[in-house]
Amino acid sequence: MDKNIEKKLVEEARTNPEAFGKIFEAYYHKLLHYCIYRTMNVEIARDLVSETFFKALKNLWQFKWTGAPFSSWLYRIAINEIKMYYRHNKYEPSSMEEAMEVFNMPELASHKDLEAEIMQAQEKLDENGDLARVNKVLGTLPEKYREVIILRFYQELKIEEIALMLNSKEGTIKSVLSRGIKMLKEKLGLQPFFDSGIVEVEEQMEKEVK
Amino acid sequence: MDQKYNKLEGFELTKNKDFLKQLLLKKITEKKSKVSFNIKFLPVFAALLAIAAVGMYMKIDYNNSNTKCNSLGGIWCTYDDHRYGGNSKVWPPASTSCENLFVKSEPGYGGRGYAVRITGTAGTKLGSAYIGVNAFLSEHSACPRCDGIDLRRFRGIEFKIKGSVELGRVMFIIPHEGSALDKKLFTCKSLTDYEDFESDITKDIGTKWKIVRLVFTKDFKQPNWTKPEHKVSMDEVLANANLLKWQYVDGKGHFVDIWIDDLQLF
Repeated sequence: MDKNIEKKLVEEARTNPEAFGKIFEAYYHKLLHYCIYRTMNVEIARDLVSETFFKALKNLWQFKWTGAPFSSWLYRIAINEIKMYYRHNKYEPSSMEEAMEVFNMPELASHKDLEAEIMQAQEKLDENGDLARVNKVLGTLPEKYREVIILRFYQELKIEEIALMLNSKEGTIKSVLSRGIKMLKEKLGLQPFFDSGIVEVEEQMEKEVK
Repeated sequence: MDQKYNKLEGFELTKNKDFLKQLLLKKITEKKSKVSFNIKFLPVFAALLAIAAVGMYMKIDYNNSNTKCNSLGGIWCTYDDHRYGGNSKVWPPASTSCENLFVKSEPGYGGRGYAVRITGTAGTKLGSAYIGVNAFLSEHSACPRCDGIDLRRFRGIEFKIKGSVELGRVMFIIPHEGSALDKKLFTCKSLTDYEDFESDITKDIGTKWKIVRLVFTKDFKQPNWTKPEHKVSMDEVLANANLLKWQYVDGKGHFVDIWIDDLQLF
């Protein structure tokens, strides 16, 4: 999203549902995909994204423009939620549940419909062998390497953006990425990685961090 | 970069997304309608008061549920002087690193919900023994991060309090901290060497709940012994506030029991 449009939308979103709706549409699936990559669990990922948006709405008045895109702020909230999930090994989306109690909206979708969609999506995810295989290996890396590799290669974010999100320097991100790739190489051996094969991906990754 | 790495392209949760969107939008609409109701149906004078009340109150924690975080995403946590060689004791236990050991107590104000309660004894080893409790003001303001929030739009702070103080004083403090973490103490670095704006609230603490309302510009001052290099304006402190503190001091060997509820900015 263009930065100026985004800035205007964020300012309006503090009180205007329509503006917040546009921001939501722009980032919902990006954040959902990120949370799925990190957890490989669609239901948990759905809850993490819900909580991220509720927290964003609640804390929007605190958001200050510092030159970083708004998405960095959203990702930072999501990253913290994921950390909480892993720290406690469970996740309760309290804001979402609270809102569901207050606003009864049966006309939109029943609980069964929502859960059925989650189940179907989880089945689809489990059938994706490539992704499961790569994530299995990624899952053995320490969190800081896994986090940066997913943001860079699955979420296709720039190193500059990742540095802003993680409150780190670009040089640090590059070096974490480089070390992470090296560890992946060692762990994968000759095992195929992504569709294009490990060699091509390694080359691409190495080009990225130079 | 080539799109081929994104294995989830086209992977969507349409129903869940729409449901969440409607919930979020309802929440925004609800906030707006609360304000407009007051303007529409009350006389002008009352409406102006209502705007002041509705528009300018910011809930920090009403303790309606036993959650770990307050409404701003921050946590509650206790502290004592053991890091400086003291032997003060506080419950719930103080954290020694970045873990959150706080638990809320029942019941809160009006016999409903929860409250923030701390009990403990000021030690005898240090000349200035202390215990206390912190309310952090955002999810990023607590260990290991130190990113505060801007409170300059508010005039003051309000909360309900009760308890017993055998001897000594209970101070309400707004610390002035930097954005760096003191890695030894697992706290954010004090920019005033702990000579912070404070207000003595001891007289407000009794067996019955009492409302304490403190105006930033009127009811706070730095201690008399504050060194010139540590003197700051309240505006500077409010511009980047990490936390609020209730601290029991000067009670060597004595017991304190404090209950706090309905914390909000006005």
